[in-house]
Amino acid sequence: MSCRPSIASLLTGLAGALALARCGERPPPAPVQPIVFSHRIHAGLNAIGCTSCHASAEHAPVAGIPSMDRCRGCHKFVKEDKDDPAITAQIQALLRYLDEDKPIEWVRVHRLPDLVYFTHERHVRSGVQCSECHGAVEKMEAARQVAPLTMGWCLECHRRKQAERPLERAHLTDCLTCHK
Amino acid sequence: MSTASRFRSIEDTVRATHGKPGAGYWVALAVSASVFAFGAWAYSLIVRSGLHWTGLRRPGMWGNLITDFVFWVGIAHSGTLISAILFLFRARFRTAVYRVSEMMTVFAVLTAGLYPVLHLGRPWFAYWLFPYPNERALWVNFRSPLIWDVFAVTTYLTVSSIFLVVGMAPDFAALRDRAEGWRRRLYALLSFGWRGTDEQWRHYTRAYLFFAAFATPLVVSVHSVVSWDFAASVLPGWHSTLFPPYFVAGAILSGVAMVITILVPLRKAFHLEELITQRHVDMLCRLVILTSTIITYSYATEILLTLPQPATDPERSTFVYRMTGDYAPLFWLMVACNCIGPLLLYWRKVRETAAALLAVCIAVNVGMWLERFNIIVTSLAHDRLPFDWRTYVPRWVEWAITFGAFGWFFMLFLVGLKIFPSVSISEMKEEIAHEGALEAGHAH
Amino acid sequence: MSDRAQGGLPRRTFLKIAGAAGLAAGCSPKAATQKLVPLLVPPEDIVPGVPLYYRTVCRECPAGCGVTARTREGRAVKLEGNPEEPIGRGALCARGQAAVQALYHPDRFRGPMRRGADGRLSPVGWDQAEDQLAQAIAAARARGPGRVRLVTRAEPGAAGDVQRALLAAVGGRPADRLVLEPLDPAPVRAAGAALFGRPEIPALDLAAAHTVVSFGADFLESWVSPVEYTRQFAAGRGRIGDDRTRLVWVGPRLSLTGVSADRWLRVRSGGELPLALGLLRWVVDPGNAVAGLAPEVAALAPALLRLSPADLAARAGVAAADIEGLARELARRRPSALLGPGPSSQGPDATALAAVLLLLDLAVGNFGRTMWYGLDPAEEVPSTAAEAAALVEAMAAGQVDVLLAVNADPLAALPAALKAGEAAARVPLVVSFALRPDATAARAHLILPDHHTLESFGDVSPRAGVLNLAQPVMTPLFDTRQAVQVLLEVAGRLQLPAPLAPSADPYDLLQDRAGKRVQQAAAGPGADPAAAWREALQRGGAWSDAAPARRLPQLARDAAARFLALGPAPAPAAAGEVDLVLFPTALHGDGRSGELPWLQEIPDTLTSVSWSPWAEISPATAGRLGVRSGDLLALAGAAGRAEVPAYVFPGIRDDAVAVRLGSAEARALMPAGLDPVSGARAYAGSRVALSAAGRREPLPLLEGSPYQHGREIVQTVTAAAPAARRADLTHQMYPEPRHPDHRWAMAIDLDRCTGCEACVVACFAENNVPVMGAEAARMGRYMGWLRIERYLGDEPGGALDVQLLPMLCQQCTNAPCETVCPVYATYHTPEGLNAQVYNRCVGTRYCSNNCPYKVRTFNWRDPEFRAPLPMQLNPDVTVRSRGVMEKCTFCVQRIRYAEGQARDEGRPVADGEIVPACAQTCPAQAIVFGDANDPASRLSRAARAPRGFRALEEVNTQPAITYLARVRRAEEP
Repeated sequence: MSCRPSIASLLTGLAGALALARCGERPPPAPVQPIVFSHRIHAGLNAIGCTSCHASAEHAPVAGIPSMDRCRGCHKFVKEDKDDPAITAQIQALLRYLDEDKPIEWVRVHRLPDLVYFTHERHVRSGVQCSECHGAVEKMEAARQVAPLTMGWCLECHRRKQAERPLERAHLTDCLTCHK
Repeated sequence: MSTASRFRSIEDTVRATHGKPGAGYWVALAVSASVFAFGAWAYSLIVRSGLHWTGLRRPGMWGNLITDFVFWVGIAHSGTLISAILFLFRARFRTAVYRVSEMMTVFAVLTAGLYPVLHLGRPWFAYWLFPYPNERALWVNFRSPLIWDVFAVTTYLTVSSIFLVVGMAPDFAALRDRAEGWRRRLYALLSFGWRGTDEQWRHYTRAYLFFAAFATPLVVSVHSVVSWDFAASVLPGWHSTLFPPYFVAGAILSGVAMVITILVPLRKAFHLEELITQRHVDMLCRLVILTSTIITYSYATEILLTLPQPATDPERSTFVYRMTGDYAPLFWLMVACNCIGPLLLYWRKVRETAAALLAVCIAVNVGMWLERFNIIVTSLAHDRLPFDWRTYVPRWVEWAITFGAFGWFFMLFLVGLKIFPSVSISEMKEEIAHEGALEAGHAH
Repeated sequence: MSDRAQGGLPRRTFLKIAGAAGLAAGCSPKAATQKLVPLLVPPEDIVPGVPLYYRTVCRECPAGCGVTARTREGRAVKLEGNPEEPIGRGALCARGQAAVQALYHPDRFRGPMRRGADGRLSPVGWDQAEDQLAQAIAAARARGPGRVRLVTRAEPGAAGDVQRALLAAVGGRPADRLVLEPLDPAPVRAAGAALFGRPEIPALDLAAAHTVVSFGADFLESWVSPVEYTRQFAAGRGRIGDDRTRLVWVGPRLSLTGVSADRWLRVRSGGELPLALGLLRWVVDPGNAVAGLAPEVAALAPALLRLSPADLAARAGVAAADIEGLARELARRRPSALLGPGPSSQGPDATALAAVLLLLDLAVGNFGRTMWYGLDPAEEVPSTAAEAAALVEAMAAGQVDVLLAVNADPLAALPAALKAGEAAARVPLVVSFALRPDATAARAHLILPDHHTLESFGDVSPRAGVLNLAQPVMTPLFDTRQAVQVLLEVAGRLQLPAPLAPSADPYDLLQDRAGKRVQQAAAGPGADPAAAWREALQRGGAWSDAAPARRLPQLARDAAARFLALGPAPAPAAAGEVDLVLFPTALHGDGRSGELPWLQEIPDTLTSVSWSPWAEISPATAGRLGVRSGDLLALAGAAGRAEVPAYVFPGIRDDAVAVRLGSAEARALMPAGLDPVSGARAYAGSRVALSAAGRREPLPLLEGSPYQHGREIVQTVTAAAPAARRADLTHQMYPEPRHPDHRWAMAIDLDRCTGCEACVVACFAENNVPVMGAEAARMGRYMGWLRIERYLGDEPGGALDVQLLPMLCQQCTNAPCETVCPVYATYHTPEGLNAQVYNRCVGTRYCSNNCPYKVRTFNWRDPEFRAPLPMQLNPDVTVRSRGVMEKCTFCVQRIRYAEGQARDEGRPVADGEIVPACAQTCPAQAIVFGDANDPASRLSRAARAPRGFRALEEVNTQPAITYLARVRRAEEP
């Protein structure tokens, strides 16, 4: 009887440590957006490249949210889906925004803390595929976060890449690479 | 008087300490609790809006709080010294006093342990100082003395608490047998089902000896590690190989002084005179005198080693500043308290008059606090680039936290007194049995 | 750009702060859901996260340096010099860089305001406001000339023309326009006019001068064109031997400029003229047989020889031997340059002083070698103090109906003794074009807030052949309007016979004037004027490569004689009376932008005082009065009285007290007296009664002990001993950390550094260093990553030997801070940087305790950036929250940016490609940054110099920063 409590506390302690170790690694579900926007249709069916909307991914830290102008670019012509009224309805929703010249207030899906200086440019240019972090977006109806985006997760990849060429890639695990 | 009845009288005296507390006790408890509460509130200010509440500023980034930390770790020392080392040396006089000093140790470590967290700029991240698997895949810096502190203090806390609890098992059993209500249930739990069988006694004595041996190196290690916080730096006045022994001696000095400071009133309040006799006190006083002389020697060494340096030497400059600069009064007060004061204990008269004895011991504790303050603050205030020299003066918030810690310590102690047997029943019985055996021997 | 987008930008920085705070609260970054608001129509040139640069002009002082403004997401985040522009050459002074804080100043007027009957300001529409002004002007015009007055800063460009045209159109006289430039050296113009018929300030080339003698002209701080002069002067420093430019400072107080001097002649206030005459006398004395003397000056010998050297020396308050010594040097070391007077030496005889100095320059043949006439366009000659006084009189006499204050604050700039405030109260309509509340705006009935320069078009031609163009670097923050446009629109409502300009649009105006000029210049066979104009806008100006006609002065007959006599000796000072010295500083100039947070927060180099005025007195005076630094002094003069905290400073004569210009106290004490010849204000030449006020007001001081205590922290070398002392580090216990790729390092030349604080402001701007305020400063909680440590000597009471040491993180190879951090918040990077990871820091502060240089600053509380100041924050640098340690990073964001560029182009980082903010802006180019691994880099070559030493090298931290010791001449102390 006298020793049971100590074992229990040991177990809880262990569980606690593990919990801490694993915390925040499960990505959140897809948020509800003001209008339905299907990456599956745009990136999947119509095979529109990522950078044709997220234009600055290759030459700027942020990939960029497409401007309303960019939506208009295509939807000037694409106003309905002949064989799917549901999709037509979705397009209508967009067109209303365009008519009123109002921007769509998208709910942010991917968010890194401000203490992280992440740059798309650097990653895209060094050959990282968008899908490696954003998942198979072209299969998603609504965009959602698939990677945990935790420091451990970033490091896992950085370490792998560094192991390939340890000397000239020393900076890959340097704190100052992401924190300034 | 038969051995059995004397056994009983011991139990009675000890149980008496658990009796219904008088007004005095409640007042003491209320005072210490409210002092603690005020300190806690003062600290909440820092948590809410930052360390600008303190008097800290460049170059002095450490002040009262670190001083308190070192001070309390010091206090924590004598407990293990008395109970473990003296046990190994078979120093009989420890029997009556070691329980109190062990309690003091545990509570002092609990107090000291607060400070490394309290003084942080972002205390809510204090857990980052522990090496644990985390999603940031980050590790702690084992080169940092602060990490050594973490291990030293936590280890010390673990060992000293186990030592205390194990040592009390037979006593708890003895109390259990004569207690009822919640006390009975509590003691039943704490006595780990002790029945006093020969089997248990054999295991118990082995275990106790083992723990004593295990705890002994800690007495030396813990404060050595704490001293490395300073010795491992490059700051003139901190960077000194003398620190570990010097800090350990100082720790024991302050610790023993604190034991006496507590014992003297305790023995009066709970009428333990026949258990804790003048002889015990004298023995502790010897310890004080011994360690005080070691301290005096250390001070002298430090100063005499640096004074011959050229006047432009920063090391020398720092010590000259310590003795003649802005903080000189504190330095000389420290010397008076730690080097001169204890010498009074050579006189039996001083040892026997409670007031005088208390005065000396409290002075030693003040002195030892000042010692740490001097080491930390004067060295920082007067480092290598004169353009940056600035003094540090603690603000009320820091004083509130400092005294709050005393409130916290005495609060715990007062509660502890009502639950733990403040004198080791079983070992006192042993003593008597021992004497009994001797008498028997003479009889024949 | 759409309002949405506008709204989006500050939010970004807000998030940065909120994020930092969130971090402080230890909450998960995923806590808050966020909206991403797309732009309706994206601006082509703005890519989020990518900086965009615009060229414009600095208008913080009349020098008119070119500026490169870095913008992010459509907002200016930092100002740097324009490397192509001939005056600044890429450097920008402290005040110039702080201009961005005027742009984002929290107190800026959000739109036009009108003062109601209750005396309160209330918003008003632009149309109503302009109508009201137009009607008032029309009414005033009807009442005759001179009833509409305009006060402005010097506007050598279209803006000036418009102002003149408007006044002319309403029947005003030229004098109705007061050009307020309090520090303009009018005596130099007057002397030039009198001697040579040239009312100009000579253009200088100090790089060619072997010796520069400054008679109170703080040309390294605020005098005329400090950035340009500092660059020229520094060009001749940093070498050992005779070809090193030597500087002699003449004055009762050792100014920051004087700190760079090799010699300080402690003349008494007003002793500059006797000294100058003494020099001239010695030079022309046939007995001294000075070779190659300008004949027209030599002809003055008879007049000069009448003066007795002993008398002159006595009047100057220096030994006759000193005068002779300096004269010999001028005769020997040619060419030289004699500068002055400056505010601190501009007394009632300022023109005479200026004239004698010009004659000296002429005598030893400096003209044509270090100075020229003909480059000062004299297009916009500032009005004199006499004219300012006349305006105030007119106002007081009720002869002014409308007073327009355009980019000028007469009520704050003019001496309190003139009572301009009361006078303004008698003006029916005071109109202020101020950006934010100032003394004039406080009395204005109508406030028509101007655009900030960074929101405006404009042109400035500070010198012949230099045309600098101002253009908006961002859309205006508030409902403000460019003053010149308002004036034109008002003119448009006046039914004038002919419009003043084809259009009221500032851009049209710019094209109409500057544009035409540039296109004419570019005209010719096969040229493309339009392209030339576009290029000019892009480059920030048009600078004719062909050097404009440089003229040599012809001394007019008998013009000199009147300046060669010495007036009656000044009456001996009454008991307790001392000379009052008023001086400008590099951080505050004439005080027009003094209240900007950075300029307040950054300590004055010489005294280390911030956030407070101070009065400098010598230790002897302090002893006499029984005061110490921080005790209040009562100064009572003829003009007025003031109470100022004392600062005990061995760099001032016992018979003088010095107060900084631009402070309210200086205004109160400023004598109304003039230099009769030039009409310039006589800042010098008055006395004040000095007494202890008996109260104490502790000064916010950065300094602990101003003495080196024999530790030889700042080293100096001499021609005799040209090598600095190095510690012996042969025995190393541990292996060196390896820096396989780069090892970033820095060299700072103390012989060039003038302590102008430009680097410090650059650091504040680039790295989001917070301003904590006066209380924090008093506590010693200054957050600057880079501070200029100033030592006055070796021991208290010892010889005065001022040394400057810019102290920043030394990025040590064996960094004591790294080993002690329990959580690896600070560590050594592969490139040798001593990294500080804010978001990992728990705030044990052990690193700072263990730092021998004490260059780490701790965030005692959360920094405050009042809106819209957050728009200035650099998005590439974290805003630190409370409880974390921070320090210089060598501008790691710039290093990373350059490395990124290099990687994109598949090449190694080029030497000089990475330039930290401090090095970029240094007018003296004293800071060199580069890769120590590359032995050929500029840095490596600089660091190898024998003058090189490391701070506290004996601690074996092995700093990445090498200081190049200041050079001293053997005969000096």
